[in-house]
Amino acid sequence: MSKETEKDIDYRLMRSVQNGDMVAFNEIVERYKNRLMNVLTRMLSSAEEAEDVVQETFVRVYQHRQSFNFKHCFSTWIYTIGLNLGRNELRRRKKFKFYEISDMQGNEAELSVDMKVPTRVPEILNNAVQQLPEKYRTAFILRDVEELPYEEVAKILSVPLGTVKSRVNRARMMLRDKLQPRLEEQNALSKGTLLPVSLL
Amino acid sequence: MRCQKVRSYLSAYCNDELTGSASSGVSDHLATCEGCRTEEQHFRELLKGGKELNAYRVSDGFNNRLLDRIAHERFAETRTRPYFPKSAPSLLIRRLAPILVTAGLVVAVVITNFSPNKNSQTDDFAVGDVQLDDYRTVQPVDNPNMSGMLHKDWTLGDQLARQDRINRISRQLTFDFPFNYYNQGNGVNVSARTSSPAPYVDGFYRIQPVIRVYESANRNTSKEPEVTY
Repeated sequence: MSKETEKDIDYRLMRSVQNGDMVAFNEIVERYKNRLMNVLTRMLSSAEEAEDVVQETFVRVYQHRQSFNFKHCFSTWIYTIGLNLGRNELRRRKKFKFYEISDMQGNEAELSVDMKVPTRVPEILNNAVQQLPEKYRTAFILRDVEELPYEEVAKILSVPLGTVKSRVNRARMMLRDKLQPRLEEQNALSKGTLLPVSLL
Repeated sequence: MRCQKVRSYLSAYCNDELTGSASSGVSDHLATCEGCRTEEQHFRELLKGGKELNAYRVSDGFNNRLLDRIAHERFAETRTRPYFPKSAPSLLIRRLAPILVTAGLVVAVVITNFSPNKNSQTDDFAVGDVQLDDYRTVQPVDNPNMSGMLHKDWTLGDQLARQDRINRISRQLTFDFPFNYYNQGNGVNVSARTSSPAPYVDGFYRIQPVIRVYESANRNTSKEPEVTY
């Protein structure tokens, strides 16, 4: 007997959810909550808002469970719902500009802590990803962070496969440009001190 | 393969997305080019950093909060809703209802205005095609049979017409005076007693009680013309 794939597990759980099985729904939540959180936090740059959107995504999945089409991949469906809700949130943000209370108080000590310059590659990369334009950022996160296949990313974003490949490549180039000074510095140091890069 | 082309392929090469000749071409070039090898190293660092990106996780109690919301949704799905039958008033009837009501009203108005009784009633008051109810349409008609009876200077046309109307109403009310009005020609002939009284014809004109007609509120009303039939 062949091993059940991720897709098959999703279908089985979704069929149970359609029959009113809340245990299966809870399992779907467990499988996807952190994946969605990971994507949406990077998309929205706010963990609290991302968590709200993740919750709303699961509520929508439950509400429209009967309309799920088994011809399509469940992960594509749930990512599409989540990203659409994330885009709505970004649009809402553009309409209404929000201010943090700490911004108004002008607490310089806290600001200096927040604005410390990152030194490690993952930290630099994290900041650089946040600065990418939205379409490149989403494609990069889905492909390189979530490691979804290009075909699925294309379906989630509703763009042609070539466009996804182009966006991901462009995002990598932009990130490389941002990281280059730090990477060159690391290379120089590793050559001089003969230390492995990971220890720097 | 040139450096520029190799560098455009490097990100895909590092992610094992290149196949066939492109992949081998890049490998061959990297074996000989120091600059492109440095670039390749940058991309590999980037790839490694991407995998080390801190994973965001939902906060504690997320599942409970979500299940609370789902429970609310389930309650909303199962609660009793007022029953509105979908099929009873069909869409066609709902759309046609105002049209049918309007059509019914139009038919009712048409029947009321053009009923035979209405026509016969109109005939009672009409002489030819002139409506006596509208006193402004009543004008002296040059009828050869009555030419000798009419005064040429017809100055009280409006008052006479109004008087005629009043008299007809009074006739309707009393039924005592079978009023004979001239109905041979194409208009109405009424006679008025003005400065020179017109001759009376027995059986044709009946002397009615005198009804005073006031020409105008602004005029001197001491000399009120007396109009009779």
